Amino acid sequence: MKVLNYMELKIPSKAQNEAFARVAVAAFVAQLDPTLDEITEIKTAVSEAVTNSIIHAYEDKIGEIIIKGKIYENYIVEIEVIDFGKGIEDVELARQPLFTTKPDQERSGMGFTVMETFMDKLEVTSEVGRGTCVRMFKAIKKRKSEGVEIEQGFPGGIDK
Amino acid sequence: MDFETIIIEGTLILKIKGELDQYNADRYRLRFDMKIVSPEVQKVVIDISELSFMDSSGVGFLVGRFRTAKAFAKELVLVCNSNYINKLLSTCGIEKLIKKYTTIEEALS
Repeated sequence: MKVLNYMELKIPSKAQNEAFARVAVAAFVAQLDPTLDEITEIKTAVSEAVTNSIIHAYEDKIGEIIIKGKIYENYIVEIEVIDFGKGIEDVELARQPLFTTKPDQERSGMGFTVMETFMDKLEVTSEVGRGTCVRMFKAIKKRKSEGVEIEQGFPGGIDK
Repeated sequence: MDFETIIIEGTLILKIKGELDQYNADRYRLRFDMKIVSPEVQKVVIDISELSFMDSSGVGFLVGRFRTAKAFAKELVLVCNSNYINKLLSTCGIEKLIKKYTTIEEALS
């Protein structure tokens, strides 16, 4: 798939940055003219991934979170949320609904399930002691009536 | 995030506005619990219709307040007419735990 546009964001794992991260991603995706529902679903998925990095990966310390966004041809959006925290021992188990390592903190254990439900594809790679990368894809419905022609701005796309 | 409090005949109505995420859940947890456990309150209605954003941390927050109310033998129900939040709530299976209404009038009756 050809990359038509991309962005990268680096933030410290502070809780107040959750709102910033999801709004920044929403602003990036806005160029595809998504519906309000599509935007909200992407914001929610980003919020879940960033919250996981803050709460689980870095726990009581502050580390860096990198958020990458890519727009491919055919209105495909890819969002990556990367941290360098403690990692996940068993990714498959962590992705199960209601699984949480912190039940005492009112964690619902539904973060990955929400990401899966609101996005079209979810890949989680993690290494204990090294960090976690959450990669999510969503296809935005092309709305011809709005006359959105994103490919015109990037003839040939960007090789990345 | 911001919220309004109304008490009508022993029913506490908490109307939440803005964004309910992990950051705000941590900031408002204690303030909500203090109101819920107040002796004059018999029933709690949390109105989330005007939330502009919520994620699973917000769901955890609502379940937490439900548990607080239950620990003090009080009923807690939700009011929500937002399609997006309803989708989030059903994804998390909350409807099996907490009763949900589409209007405050229904929740009060």
